[in-house]
Amino acid sequence: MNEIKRRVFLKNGGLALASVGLIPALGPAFLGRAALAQGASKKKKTLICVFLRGAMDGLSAVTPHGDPNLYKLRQSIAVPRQSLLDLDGFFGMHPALAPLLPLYKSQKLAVIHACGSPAGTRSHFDAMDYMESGSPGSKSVRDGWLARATLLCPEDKKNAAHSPFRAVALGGGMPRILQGDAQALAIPDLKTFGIKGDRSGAMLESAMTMGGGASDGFETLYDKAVGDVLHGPAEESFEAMRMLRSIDPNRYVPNRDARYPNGRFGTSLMQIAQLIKADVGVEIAFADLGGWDTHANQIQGPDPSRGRLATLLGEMSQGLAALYSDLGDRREDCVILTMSEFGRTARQNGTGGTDHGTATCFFALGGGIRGGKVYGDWPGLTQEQLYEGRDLKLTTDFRAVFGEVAKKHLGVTNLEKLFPGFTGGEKSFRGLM
Amino acid sequence: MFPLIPAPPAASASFQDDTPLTQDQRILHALGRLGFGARPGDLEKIKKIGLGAYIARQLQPDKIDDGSVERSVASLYGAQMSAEEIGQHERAVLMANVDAVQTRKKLEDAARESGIDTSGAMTPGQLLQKLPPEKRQALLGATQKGAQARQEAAAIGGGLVAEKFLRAVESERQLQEVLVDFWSNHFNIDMGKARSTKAIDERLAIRPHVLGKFRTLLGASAKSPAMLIYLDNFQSVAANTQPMFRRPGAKKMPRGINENYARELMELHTLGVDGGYTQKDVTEVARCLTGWSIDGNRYGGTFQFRNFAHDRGEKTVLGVKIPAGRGIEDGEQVLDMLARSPATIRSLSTKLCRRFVSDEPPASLVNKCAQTWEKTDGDLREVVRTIVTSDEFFAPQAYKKKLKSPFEFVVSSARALGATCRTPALQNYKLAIGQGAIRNTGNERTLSGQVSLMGQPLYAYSFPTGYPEDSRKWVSAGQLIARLNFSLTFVDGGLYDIDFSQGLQINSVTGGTPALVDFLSEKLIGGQLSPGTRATLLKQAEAIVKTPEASKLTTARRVAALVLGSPEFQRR
Repeated sequence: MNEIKRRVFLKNGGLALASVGLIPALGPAFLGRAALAQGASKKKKTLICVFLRGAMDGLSAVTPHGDPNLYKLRQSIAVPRQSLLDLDGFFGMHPALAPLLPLYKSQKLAVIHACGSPAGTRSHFDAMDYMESGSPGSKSVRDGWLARATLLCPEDKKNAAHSPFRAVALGGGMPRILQGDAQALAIPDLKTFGIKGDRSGAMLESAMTMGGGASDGFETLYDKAVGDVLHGPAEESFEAMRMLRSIDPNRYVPNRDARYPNGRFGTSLMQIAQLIKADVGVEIAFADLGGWDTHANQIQGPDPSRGRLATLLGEMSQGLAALYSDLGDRREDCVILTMSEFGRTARQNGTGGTDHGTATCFFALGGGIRGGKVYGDWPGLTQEQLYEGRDLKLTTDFRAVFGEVAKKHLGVTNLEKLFPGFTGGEKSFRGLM
Repeated sequence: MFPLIPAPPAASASFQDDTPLTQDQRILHALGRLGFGARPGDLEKIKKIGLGAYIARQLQPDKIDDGSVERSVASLYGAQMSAEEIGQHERAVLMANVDAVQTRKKLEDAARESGIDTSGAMTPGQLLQKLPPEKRQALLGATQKGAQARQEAAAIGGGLVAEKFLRAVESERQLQEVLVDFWSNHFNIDMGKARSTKAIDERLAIRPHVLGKFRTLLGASAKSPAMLIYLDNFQSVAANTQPMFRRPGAKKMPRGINENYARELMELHTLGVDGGYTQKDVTEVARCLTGWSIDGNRYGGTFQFRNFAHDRGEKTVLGVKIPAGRGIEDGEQVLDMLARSPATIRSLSTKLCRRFVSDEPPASLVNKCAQTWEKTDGDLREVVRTIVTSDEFFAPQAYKKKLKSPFEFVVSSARALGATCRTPALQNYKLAIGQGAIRNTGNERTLSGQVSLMGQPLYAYSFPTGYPEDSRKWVSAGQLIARLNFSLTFVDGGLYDIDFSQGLQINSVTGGTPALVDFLSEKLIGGQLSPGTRATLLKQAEAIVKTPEASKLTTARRVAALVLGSPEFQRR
């Protein structure tokens, strides 16, 4: 059992001494631990997933301006052809995606269109659940597919002592996609991930630091709570905190060209880059950006390239471009993948927005991606071609995209285990990588 | 919804046997479920009047005197504003937003003229900062006007957050507060979208009805301006209706229904996702609800049915024909049907039992609950009475089985320590929250900022599901660390909106470290600590005592923080 070995290492490696205050926090134990993590992370491949929650309007993000029906269905909300960033004469990016255009042109970024979940639900919550569990239509799969990918990843299998950072979610709680046996770590913000009084600069209250620090007391409490649901997360947290002491998120300076957007999403992506560059053994990273449920007033004023959707697309594209740039020489080892639970109605609704639909577009960016192309079969937008007469029809199952990246990037060969019930197999792959 | 970690079902190692609860445990259990945990002296008080009498009293909150809390609440920002006044503030925000489009354009033009790169998601404030001084001055006023209007609305929202803490920590009507928390979360509204109108929703649509008929509560929510804004129904009109007024120069838009509210009404508020409705039902319900809107002159202040926007055609909802030619009755009939549907009764009985009893509530209890619901036509007082007086409620399998939500954890800590809210600080919540910052973690020295750090920013959950009632969802590493830090900050006096000046009151304790540990364990958690936890606390306390700077107080603080941060205190 990996788990036991790791604990044994920690106990024997000197952290027990640290916890009674005999050696400073950054003493030999930490160095040993960091060295271990380094060993485990050499040449590690990393998958970064970004969930766009609320159902991104794929027809606005990457607009099929060459489809004769588009502008009929979306009289006032479609971005006019001349304002789009044309990709191939048929599709054009929303102007707010400008930061991604150079990456598309340099063939690092691919678009997969008319992609989504075959489950056919228009409930956000069911659809997210299906996309995160990787089991559209079945609610009996209890863990997330990224958690399974972590466990199936061969790099992980051969390392007995895996890093607590091997699967991390930044920006909030533990997402469904990472729930399961992989002992993932959810960190709202690296800057506040530590016990008060434990960090240099915060050692003010003597009551909190004397006698070894409160953190050791807490650690012992949760260490003893075997069988409690809180035991596992607590154990992971304390271990991760020790490793984090050397990283100091407050002092992180991204690459010069990386301009992350303000806000939680930009911060999460920046901290993902920071963890990857610090070689703490990240295999899977996750962040999300909500607010895509644009039922009303998707655009603002008379110009369809402005408004709520444009702001979100701007935040997303600026974030992804910054992350890619910031990864520096690690970018060849990383793939960034976006997803959204479903798309939106092909037709605009009565309130200048769009209602819940079916297929949307996904983005894939990074090392090994054959970019500069829009993948997938275009289903068309005539009344008969629309799914149930209202939505962009799905032509690529999301599992074909996730599966291809998991296999070719992470080396996960067992697709049946990754996506229980998925019969598409490798022949469903689109050749993204 | 699903276990997170390879773990036994919501099990805590220390509370797994089948021994019936002692009388003290039954009281502590009730205090943690009907309320936000025990305050010093609560146990004794209930012993005196009897647990049955306590529960009966909690079910009749109008008969409990709560005058001092009401007076404090009345002093909070916006608490005395009428719905119309709040609506007028929102109207000002709306107008400022319209102006903001113009201002933004002017800002961008000015930036371009000055050769500044405006790509990326910059706020007007950020753009303004980049401008050369002479241009900045000219546009400052226009930018500030919008900021002020939004700040006003945010302050009213801040007042609501303050009210929630004040009532949960101090009110004697604990069950009512728990139910307001439950139903306000059930009919979740994100203040990021509905802003200060949520305050009207909580005060007028939720609070008065939590112990009334479910149909009344549902109707109040359906007509709540905040809900109509949050789920877009206020804009939903019959196909091709033309608005009575259009802004000069505005494009002519095809108008029609918006399905958002209709869908969530069935999926989340009533039937449940597997409640047997179809996409066609969603569309038909949306048609029935066309014209359910708000008075635009007081944006979000009051409900208004717009006859001209109502779809008068015939509809079929869940197999029932809704005749053509009617008005608001269509929507009322839909609400009648949904409120009384067996799927609704089942779904909401389960959810209530999940909140009050356990994450996977016993079927026997859900059945009893549903029977009461049917018999009383959804009388929520009787439904709740059925739950909190049942054998299942007091079963050892339910004891300490729920993890506290961050809000429950923070409030129960304050109550355990006998602390009270600092009303003047709460009156300044507008400053702590400020413009547009409702969803941020906020000031970490406030209760609301702390709850945000633990993953539950109040009134700022963007999905209409609300926060999960399955308490296992609150297990994650980062959020746990935030809880431990809160414990340390609190006992250290580091929060400025809570009055902890009375301290831990350890003067009476004599007899060394074990006595101190036992005193604090008794005081804060009714002595309900596992032997392992007690041993750890003793060891920590002894380690501190040996250090030269140690005092009885510093030792006590550390022990108190460890109790609040212990696995046991995370449960109720």
